[in-house]
Amino acid sequence: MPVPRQSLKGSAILSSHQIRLASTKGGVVDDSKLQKDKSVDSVVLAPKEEYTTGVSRLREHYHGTVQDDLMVLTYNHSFKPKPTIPDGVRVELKGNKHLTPAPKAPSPRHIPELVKIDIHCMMKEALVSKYNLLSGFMAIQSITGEMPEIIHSKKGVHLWKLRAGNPIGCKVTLKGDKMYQFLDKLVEVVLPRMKEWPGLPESAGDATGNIGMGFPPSAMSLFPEIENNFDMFPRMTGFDVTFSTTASTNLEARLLLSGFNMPFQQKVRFAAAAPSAATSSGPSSIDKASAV
Amino acid sequence: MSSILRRQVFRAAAGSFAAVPRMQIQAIPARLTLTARSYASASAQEAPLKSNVSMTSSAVVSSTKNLIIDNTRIVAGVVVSRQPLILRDLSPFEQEYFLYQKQLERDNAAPFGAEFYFKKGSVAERRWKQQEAERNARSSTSTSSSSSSSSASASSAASKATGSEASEELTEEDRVAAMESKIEFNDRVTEADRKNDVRSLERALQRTLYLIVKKPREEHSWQFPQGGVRLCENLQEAASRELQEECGGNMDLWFVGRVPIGHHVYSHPKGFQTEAAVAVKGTKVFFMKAHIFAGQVQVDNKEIVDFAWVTKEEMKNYVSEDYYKVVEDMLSDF
Repeated sequence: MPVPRQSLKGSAILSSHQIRLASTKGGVVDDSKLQKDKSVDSVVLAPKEEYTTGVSRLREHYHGTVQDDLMVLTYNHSFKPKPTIPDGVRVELKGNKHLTPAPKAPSPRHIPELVKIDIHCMMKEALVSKYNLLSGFMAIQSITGEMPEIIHSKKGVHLWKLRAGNPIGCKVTLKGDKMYQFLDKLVEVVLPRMKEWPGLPESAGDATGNIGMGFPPSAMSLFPEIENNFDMFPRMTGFDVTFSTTASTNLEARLLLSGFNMPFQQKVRFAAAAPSAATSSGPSSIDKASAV
Repeated sequence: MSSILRRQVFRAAAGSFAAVPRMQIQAIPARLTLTARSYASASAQEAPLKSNVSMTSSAVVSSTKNLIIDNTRIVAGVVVSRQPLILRDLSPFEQEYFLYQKQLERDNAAPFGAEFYFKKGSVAERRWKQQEAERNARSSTSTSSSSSSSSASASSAASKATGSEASEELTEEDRVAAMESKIEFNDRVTEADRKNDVRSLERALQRTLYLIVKKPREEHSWQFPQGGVRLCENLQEAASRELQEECGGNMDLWFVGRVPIGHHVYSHPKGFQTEAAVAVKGTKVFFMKAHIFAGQVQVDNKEIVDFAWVTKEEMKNYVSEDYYKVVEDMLSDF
């Protein structure tokens, strides 16, 4: 197949040429030539707004430490693959149960990893005037560094005076370095300053490896970006944060997040272990232990 | 690397594993019981099975008899590691790449609404303008490094002009604030690195360090801390007890699970004497993984005479070749 191969080769040369053009922007190539190629250049230079401008602290921590430990902690030494369901067979479970994905064979390639963080807010004030949404929009943009996407309502509900197609909230999906930066900020700055928050419950997780948490409007002002010019945001809004991971169980997802220093509540199960456990996790669990 | 960042890194590492073990111990007691059985005493004919692992330390009477299965002594070893405290050094290529990406990000960024974030005429606004001028000057000098000399001089002159304007606007108050907020960077190479003090935990901050101890004998003197598993004891209990006996109790440790991360089997030379009544042909060492957060080893000069915190590569110089081959794959390259 000589023809497609040639065309492939040609395209490869073209793209490498463009990259060279871009990298020698200031010096060798003069401005007029650059402007002519601008439309092509923009395609090469800005594939998306994803720029890796340095090594991420939490990513390094994950690859150097957390990954190794998760392998030890979650390795299933007696793994048996689930029998596959043949085509055309419909499995019906009793009650309110549904089929879950089969657990993957233990392997270095299946260690749980953080994939994305979704930040989402819904503002009731937007029902009165859609311009009320701008405050939450700007707040989310400030704390994540990315422009949110506006969410419109799918259905109208008369009781809430909601009509289909009204802008009602906004959301941002973070991946890569920005995701780790946000997690870092959350864990190091925001969560320690949330008063009387006992940590994520032990039951957190949706059984398929994702963990979600909600924040009250007061938590928004704890972010350093908001705190510095609090006056500019007329309405503080609560928001939801969802951590999506490749873990297949709640336990794996919780282990992964606690590897990033996310605080979790604990139940005291054994009388012998109670005093040491209570002292290690602060006043909230002491109260709990005494209550139990 | 600033001291703050270094502290943050350490706190992240310490905090994460302060958080993990709590949950680990609490969340999966049933699995732990199973693992403990299958790893420590399931195949031991003479050892009674334990009903609940977490109760053993207080409820079951501890025995000083060593655990021997199939004429093989069962031994628990500990791989104690200190995690990296600072980020690694970047390669020249990475440095260039990140610089280039930074410029691209700056060029393609959405315009910044300064009037939204800073009040007009405020100190914060002035400071931001000054910082922005500095950033612009820096990026223009770095881009013009490869270009012709005329444009470079022009851009530097321009940056100088903006810089001088900005500095004129600055008041005494701003200068004091700038001095206060100035970040001082700590050295990435510590005193222990310069003196090559392998006993210090403050060395090789970018790498994972492992604890090896020296026993008072000629052959195989350097190895991981280890000791025989007793009856009615699981591997993790044996490992933590042995570590306390050999290295003292002045270490803040967390064991990563109760499952060994590797094992080492060797047969004894002929004429090897043990105190056990049964003939013992060899030894099986199971290595448990642990992290250290604080504290240090205390040498008692009885069981061990020396210790060292070494990286994976440095370990080659201490331990025997056969031993290194066995433990090599358990150790981190970072």
